[in-house]
Order: sequence, then C-alpha cells, then structure tokens
Amino acid sequence: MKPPSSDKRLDMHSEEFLHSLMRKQLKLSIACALAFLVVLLGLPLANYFWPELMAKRIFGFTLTWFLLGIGFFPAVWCISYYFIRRSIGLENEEVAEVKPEDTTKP
Amino acid sequence: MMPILATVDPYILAFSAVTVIVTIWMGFRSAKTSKTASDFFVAGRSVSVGWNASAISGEYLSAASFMGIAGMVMSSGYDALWYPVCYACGYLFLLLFIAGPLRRFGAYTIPDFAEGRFDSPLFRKIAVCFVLFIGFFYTMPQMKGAGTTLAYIFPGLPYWAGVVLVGAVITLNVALGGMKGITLVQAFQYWAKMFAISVPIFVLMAVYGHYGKQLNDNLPKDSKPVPEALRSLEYEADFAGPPTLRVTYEYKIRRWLGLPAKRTFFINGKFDGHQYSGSEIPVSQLLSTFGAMIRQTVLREKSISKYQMIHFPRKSRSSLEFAADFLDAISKNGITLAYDDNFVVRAVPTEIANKVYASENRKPLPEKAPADSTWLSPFGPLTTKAAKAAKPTPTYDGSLLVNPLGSAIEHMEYSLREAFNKISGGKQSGFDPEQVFSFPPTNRSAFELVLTSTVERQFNRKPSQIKYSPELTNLLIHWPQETQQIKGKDLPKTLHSVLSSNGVTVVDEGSVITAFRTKDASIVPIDPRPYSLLYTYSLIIALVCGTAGLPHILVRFYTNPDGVAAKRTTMWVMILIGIFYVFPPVFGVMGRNLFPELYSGIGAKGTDKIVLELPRLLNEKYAPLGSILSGITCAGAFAAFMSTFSGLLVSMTGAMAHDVYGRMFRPKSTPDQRMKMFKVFAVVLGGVAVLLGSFVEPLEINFMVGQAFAIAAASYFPLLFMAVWWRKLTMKGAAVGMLTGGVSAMVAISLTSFSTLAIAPGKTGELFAVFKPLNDFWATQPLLRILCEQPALWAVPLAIGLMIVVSKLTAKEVPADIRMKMLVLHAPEKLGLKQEYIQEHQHGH
Repeated sequence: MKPPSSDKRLDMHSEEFLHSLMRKQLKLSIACALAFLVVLLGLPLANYFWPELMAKRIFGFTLTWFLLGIGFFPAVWCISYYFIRRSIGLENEEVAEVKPEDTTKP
Repeated sequence: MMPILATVDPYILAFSAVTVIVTIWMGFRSAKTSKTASDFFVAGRSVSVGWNASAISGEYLSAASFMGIAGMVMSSGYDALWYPVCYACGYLFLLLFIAGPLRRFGAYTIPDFAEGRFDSPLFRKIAVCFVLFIGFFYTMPQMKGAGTTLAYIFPGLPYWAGVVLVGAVITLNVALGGMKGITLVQAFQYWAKMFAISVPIFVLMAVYGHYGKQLNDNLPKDSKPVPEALRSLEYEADFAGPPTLRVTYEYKIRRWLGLPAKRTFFINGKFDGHQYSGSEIPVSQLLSTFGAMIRQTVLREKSISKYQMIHFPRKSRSSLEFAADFLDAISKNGITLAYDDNFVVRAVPTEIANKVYASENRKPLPEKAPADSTWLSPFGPLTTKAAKAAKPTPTYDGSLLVNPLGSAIEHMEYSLREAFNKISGGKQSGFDPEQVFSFPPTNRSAFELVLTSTVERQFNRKPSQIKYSPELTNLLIHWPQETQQIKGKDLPKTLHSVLSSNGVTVVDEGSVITAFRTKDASIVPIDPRPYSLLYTYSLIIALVCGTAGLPHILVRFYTNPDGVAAKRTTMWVMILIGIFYVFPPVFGVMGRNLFPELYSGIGAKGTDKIVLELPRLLNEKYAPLGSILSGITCAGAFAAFMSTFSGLLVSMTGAMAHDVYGRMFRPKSTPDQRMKMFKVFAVVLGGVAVLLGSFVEPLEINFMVGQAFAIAAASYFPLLFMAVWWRKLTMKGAAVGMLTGGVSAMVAISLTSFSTLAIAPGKTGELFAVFKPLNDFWATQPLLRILCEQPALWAVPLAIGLMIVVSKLTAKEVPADIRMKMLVLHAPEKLGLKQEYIQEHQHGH
C-alpha cells in the first residue's frame, strides 16, 4: 500500500479520528451485543417468571426448548449478518473520511 | 486381549480405525508440504471462504460438542441446552468485540497480542501460563471422550487404558510433526463430524420418530397421550395399595392443592361404611379439582372410590408446581394419567398403561434418571444440584398445634410400627394398613403424638406416659401398672432411619421437642429456583465470554486474505456450528426414551457414550445398519477428540518450546535445539494430559469443557476485551486482573471438581478422599458451591475491576505509542496503518 499524502496522514493519526472510530465501532458492537443479550439473558427470566407459558407445547417441543434448542441459532445468524454488513460499511465510511479518493473502491 | 477382541463389533472397529488412520495420514501429508509457522498461517490464504469456515468449525467442535452435549442433555435435560447454544453464541461475542481488532493488529496468538499491546515480553510469559492452564483443563474432557469411546469399542477395556492408548498415539503423532492445524485437515474434520452426527440422527428419527415427537414422549410420565389401546379400555383404579404409597400420594396432593384453609373440602361423617373425621376428600373430587385447575380437562374415571385425607399447607404455589407434584403423587400410587387429543384425561392403572406404552417407543426409566417434569423444564437437576444438596436449616415457622405433620405422621407411624414389630419379634402386629388414622387436635408436640399413638396401637393399650432420651436412644413407656423400657441398641438406628426416611426432622431444644416435615423446613430457607437462575447466568457468562478467550480459536482469523473475507468466514462459521449444535441434543432426547439403561452407568459407562451407543439400537430391526451407524458416530468421536487434543497439544507445546524454553531459559538456543525441545515437551505435556485425563472419569465431558471456558472467561477474555477497548490499560493492570481472575476461577473450579471426585466410587474416590469434608461444607453453603462451580459471574467482573483499579494506579505506565496501537487495532486495514506501525517499531527498537 502506498503511503498516503502528508496532510491526510495528519488527519488519520489525529485523536479525533481515533475517537470517532472507536466510538462508532463500539456503538455498533454494543448495539448488537445488547440485542443478543436481551434474548440470551431474557430467556432464563422468562423461564423463571412465566413457567407455564414457556411449558406450552409446539410441535411436541416445549416453547422454551424450541426457543433454546432450535430458534436461537437463526436469531444469532441475523444479528451477526447485520453486524458484518454494518461493520464492513463502517470501515468503508472510515476510509472515505480520511482517504476520499478511495471511496469508489468497495 | 482375546476375550476383549471377541466382543468387538467389526463394523465399529473398522470405521474407527479408518478415521484414525486417515486423520494421521492427512496430518503427515499436509505437514510435509508446510513446514514453518508462517506456512501454517498463510496456507489458509489460498483457500476459499467456504473451506476456511469449515476448518474453523472443525477445529471448534471437540469431544464436548460431539459426545458431551448429548450426554449432558440426556442426564440433565433442558439446562444442558445452554451449552450448545452458548458455544455457538460465544462466537458472536468474539466477532463483535475482539476478532476484528485482533486481526488488524496481526497478533497470531494471545501471548503475541499481550506482548505487542503492552510492549512487554514479561507479560507474554504471564499470558503463556494460561495457555497451559486452559489447555490442560480442555484436554481432560477430550481424554474422557477417548477413554469412553475406547471402552465402548472394546468392551471390557478399562477406562484408563483407552486414555493412555489414545493419548500416546496423538502425543507421538504431534511429537513427530504430524497433526499441524492444516486448513484442509480441519475442514475435512468438520464435514466428517457433521456427517457422523447428522446421518445417524436422521435414520434414527425416521425409525423412532422425529425430535418433537421424542420430546413429546417426555410429557411428565403420567400424562402421556392416550394410545388407541387405552381409549377403549374399561378400567378400574384402586387406590388401596401399600400404605406408604398411598400416604405419599396424600401428602403430595395436599402440597399440590395449597389452597387457603377456608376453601377446604371438609368432610366429616361416613363414607363406604367408614367413619372419617378431619379433612378428608374423595379422590374423585380431587381429580376433578385438578381438572378444573388445568381448565380444558375433563376427567373420566370409573371407580376411583377410596377416600383420601386432605390438609392444606399455608404456602401458595404456582399451578404448574402443583400439577408436577400432583402427577408425581398420582404416579407413585400406581396411577397414570393420559391425555387424548381432546384433552380428556384418563386415569389408568400404571400396570396397564405400562403394558400399552411398552409397545410404544419409550422404555421405562431407571431409578437414577431425573423425573420427566424436572428433566424437561428449566432449572432442573444440573442447576439446582447445589441447592438441593443443601441441608435444611432445622427451623419451622408454622405453629404446630394441629397435627402439623399430616400424612408424614401416618407414614411414620406405619414405619415406626414396623420398627417396633421388628424389636418385638413381630408378635404384636395389630396394624391394619387399610385403616386411616386420625388424630384429635392436640397441643402436644407432634412427635410425642406420633410416638404415643404408635405405642398405643402397637401394644393395644394406652400408655400413661412416654419418656425418651434426647437422642432417642431409650424409650421409657409407663403403663398404668408397669414401666417398660425399650433399650437403645436397635432403637436409635431404627428410629432415626424411620424419621429421616419419612422426611421428618426432630429438633430437640430441651423442654420442647419439635418435629416437622424436613421438606417444609427446607422450603422455608432454600428455594432452589433463585440459585438455579444464578447458576444459569454464571454458566452463560462463562461460555459466552470463554469462547472469546480460547487460545486455539483466534488463530484462524488470520487464515483469510483480508478483513472482509474474514468477516464472511465468521458468518459461515456461525451457520456451520449452529446447524451442528442442533443435532447433539436430539441424541440426548432420544437416548432418554430409547436407551435409559445408561442412567445407571457410571463414568465411561454413563450417558456420555449415548452418541456412540444409540445407533446400535437399529440392529434390532435392520442389522447391521445399527453397527454401521454406530461405527460412524465412533469415527466422528475420534475425529472430535483427536483434532482437539492434538490442536491443544500443539499450541501448549509451542508455548513451552518457544516461549518458556526459547525465550526464558535458553534465549540463544538454535532452531534445531528448539525443535528437539518441541518433541520433548510434546511427550511431557502429552503424558501430563493423559495422567490428568485418567482421573476424571466420574466428571461429565461437557461439564469439564464448561469449566475450561470459565477459566478462559476470567483470564483471557478480560485481557482481550479491555486491551482492545480501553487505551488506559497498563501492563500491570492487565496482569493483575488476568492472574487474579483466572487463578481464583481455577482454584474455585478445582475445589468443586475435587469434592465431586472424592465421592466417586473406587480408586478415584480414595485418592481424593481428603476433599470429602468439602461436601459437608457445600451442604451448608449452597450459594458458595454454585459460585465455585460456576465462577464466571464474579471472576469476570473481578478481573475487569482489578484491571481498571490497578491501571489507574499505574497510569504513568501506559505505553507511549498507545494512540498508534489503538489506531492499528481499530482503523480499517485499507489505511495501511499496520505497516507504518511495524516500521516505527523497528526504528524505535
């Protein structure tokens, strides 16, 4: 990779850039983690407070078994799909911020 | 050896042997083509996202995933499902917080990262320790998998022999340079494991019924769907039976009803020519009350005509709990409740039901198996074990004025009578088990009441006074004319066993002796559900955070050409392992229905081998299909523990040879010397792993892996998470946090495992006998036991907290180029900051 020109390098190394970089990334990660944790940590609570509801049968499974044994995986796939798309987009934005000429590249 | 070989199933042996040979051959073949560490990492760059994702997944699925989950779902039910879910979801956490930055930073291993992030070779050495700690904890379950599988293939082969054999083969293989983590081998391993777990399951489901149907067979035992044969059955249910059963029934129903005292079914008077007094209710009415409580249910019963005594406890319980107790009670009295499609309930004698259901696909469960209701629902045996083992504090907040012991009294009286019968040589058995006793309201202590009443009935006359020593070693019975002494030789033993087996606790406070139901007492201070919830959360934290800290997982993020490909790969990994993890629990569920014999087995003969053994059932119908499929699952098991064990051994040996020997002891050693040391360390570490593995037969595979995860969660995860996201972290802060969190988690975990091993039968138990008293301690401190068994809940925050505090105190030691480091961690790779960073570093040093 060719070294970027000096005025943009300054920008890239600035405290400001690092801050916005980390903030954006952390925000995305935390948003996804929260969506994930609400489901993950919510299920034991649902089991605790609504045992009767969670014991309802669907396709022979109890509701809670169905959610945990099967339904959980697609949910996680959705979250990780969203995260991967957003974080790739985010990287492109970040690159665009400091290297405007590179935005045309995917 | 001959008798062992004679019983070996040739199909199973053939499939396993082929897997072992192919794995070793592939390892050596690829090892030839890639000699150096950089080859190892670069190799992946020439393969596609699909292959790479398969390789990561193949590396990830260990014996715990392949055998352990099924075994644990079978033994513990619902709670064990957290393991596969969190194994898969932990990967998401890794993706969200750690994978991207670490990839950008270009650190291949955690020690690499530790050194690079803090510019501290010392910290690298500290970090290396945990490669060994976590590695050993992770190899133990792999060894158990090996011992279990070999003991299955060669019936009669002792567990330790399998561990030694497999351990020796793999160790030798690693020492000779095979078995490097080559992409192609690992990718092949994934598909082998996927094939081995899914194909037998699909065949089994086609023959015995699908996942949902299998689970549906686990409706609490007494309320299975009504088969056709039962629908047309004219039946009679008789509640007579042995009094102990009858009374248990009564007692449970009382607990079940749990209605406020005002809504009593108070019956006084004559029924069927018997005089009843007190709170009594016909069984038919009970059953219809039950029907009303679960609303849709209409009860049909023909001639349930006996009458039961009903009392009402003070505490209210959720209707689900009532139902569980009720069903349990009914079943103990030899009654099976069966629902049909219209939610019509039929009460059928279990004897008849069993005959009908025996032709269905579920076999009767042995004693040791958990009951359906606890197995199927959350907060079951796995998470409530500690709370259930806790000794109740002998206090009782209720007043004891009116017959507080209820049915326990009747039960106890019956047993006491038997005890007296034994003492008096059975001469005075005037006891009629059909008779229902009633006690007049009294304010004497319940225990005295029982004693008096028992003595009265036993000897057919009224004692004027009974005196007993505090420990019940002697009874002095005053009759109107004489005094009789029953001496302590037999009495205390009998009495105590009678008391405790009837769930009665006697507290002697000198002037007052109180007797109450142990259950009531234990309910007051210990409700297992909150403990269970805590256990569940701690387990979740351990597994989710632990995945992110597993030493051998991160490496594979670099076997991608660029960051975008790495992310796509991760997506595919999540999908591949997610699909895999749907299958092992199916084995567990089917195993419970079709192979309950394993509940009675211990160690290598227990539920951990269900994946291997279950397909063989098909031999009954389609021999030799069962043997072939069993051979396939055995092959999958070999693939699982061999790949994980060798992967771990390579990374542990690498850490020893390169970090400990190459950097600490002989920094000037030549590559040849290091290569030689690599071999020496491989043998030494393999030997230690085999030794450790041979001790852990009584522990479940999955449980042990969970513990390795907990240690990783308390050590590496805080390090990685904080180092990536908090720039003010100093080396000292990171080291103190990681060491304290990791070591304390490890000590806590070892303590619980030792105490479990101490009560194991045989040599293991003797070896760990020192730790036996720990179990008594756990019994008084269930909370501590849970926090030790699953330490992540406190150890992870402890590690992070210490990192923050110590870093604040040593704030001056933040690396000078921290901004650059953070930029490298977070800025997109396209900006090329990494190269710049490397150049600067070379200038700087």
